[in-house]
Amino acid sequence: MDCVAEVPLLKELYSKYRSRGVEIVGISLDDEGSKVERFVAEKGISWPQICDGKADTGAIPKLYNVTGTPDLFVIDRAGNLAARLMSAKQLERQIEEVTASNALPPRQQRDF
Amino acid sequence: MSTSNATEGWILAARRRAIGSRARTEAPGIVKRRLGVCLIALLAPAALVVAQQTPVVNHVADVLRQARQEVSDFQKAGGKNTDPGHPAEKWAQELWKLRDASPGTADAAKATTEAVRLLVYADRFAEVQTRVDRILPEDPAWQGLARVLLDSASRQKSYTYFFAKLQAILSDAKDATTRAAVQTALGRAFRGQGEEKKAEAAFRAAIDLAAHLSPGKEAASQLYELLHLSVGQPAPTFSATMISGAKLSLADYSSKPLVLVFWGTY
Repeated sequence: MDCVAEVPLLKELYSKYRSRGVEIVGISLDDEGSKVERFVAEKGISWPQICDGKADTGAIPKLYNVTGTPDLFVIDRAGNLAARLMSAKQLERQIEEVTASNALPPRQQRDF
Repeated sequence: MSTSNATEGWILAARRRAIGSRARTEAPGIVKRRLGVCLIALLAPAALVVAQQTPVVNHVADVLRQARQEVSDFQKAGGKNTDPGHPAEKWAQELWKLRDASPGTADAAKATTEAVRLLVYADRFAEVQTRVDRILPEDPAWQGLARVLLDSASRQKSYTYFFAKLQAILSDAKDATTRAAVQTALGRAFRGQGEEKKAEAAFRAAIDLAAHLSPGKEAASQLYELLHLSVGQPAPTFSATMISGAKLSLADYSSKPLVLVFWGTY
């Protein structure tokens, strides 16, 4: 459940799948960017980080309707949302799906 | 049902409540100022009622705290949902006594909702139905029950009772907040089943009924997710400054799979 506890798993997945083109962007809901800066330096987190210090009232959390963490969005090569996860535990399966082939996952049927 | 699943259920329920309580008017510009005055007018008498009933509220909260503790101890000791004498049964009865002690009040509604929630997370679905079938459409407990019954349907993997019950409440209940709560729960269920048109209609109905109240705000948040954050839709784009000081735009990642990790060092 805890974001910090999931950092080792994220690091592992990042190094495993980066060669297949997978990128990670961290958006921290911390109230101070400096905390995030220190933390990522300590833990050796190398993917880009965004933190505007506004926690869940920041523009990006609002855009993605994020009120609690962790909250993960998997985006496919076409730029479409492929999954939303409450934990990194099921992330590898989703990454496998979006990297499995160049074929894009079928768009969900929408008729409105 | 295994202990870990049951515990997970509690955690999920707690998380959903936490998320619900933090739900804000996510959908752009929904009626914040317009109804501000109206809201104050509505809340003033409600606050008075709450103040008068504080001792009973505390009582419900106390009973609930004991109940959760006992269920948690029961699970830690290896108790299963299939075991007879699950503590949820006893505590649901205790809460029901509080319901009967102050019928129609906010305390009774809270006691009712929590009693049913205890039974749902102990997989006592038959008892859930027996008790819920005795609750009249005008009972304020429906404002919380609608959502608990959705959890129940989801655990039971059967939505037949849920839809029949909530449609019946919707056709009989007159209270706008109750109707909004029912519409919001129906919308969530439709969304879960991929019935997006029906989900959208239900969320819009809830917003029309109670935009400034909790079920309306939840519906607005759900509607936003349905329209903008459903699987298969284009990820909302943004650009921002990274902590390194450099600019980042989502467009920079075109043709690469990307994971956005919302997190915190806390």
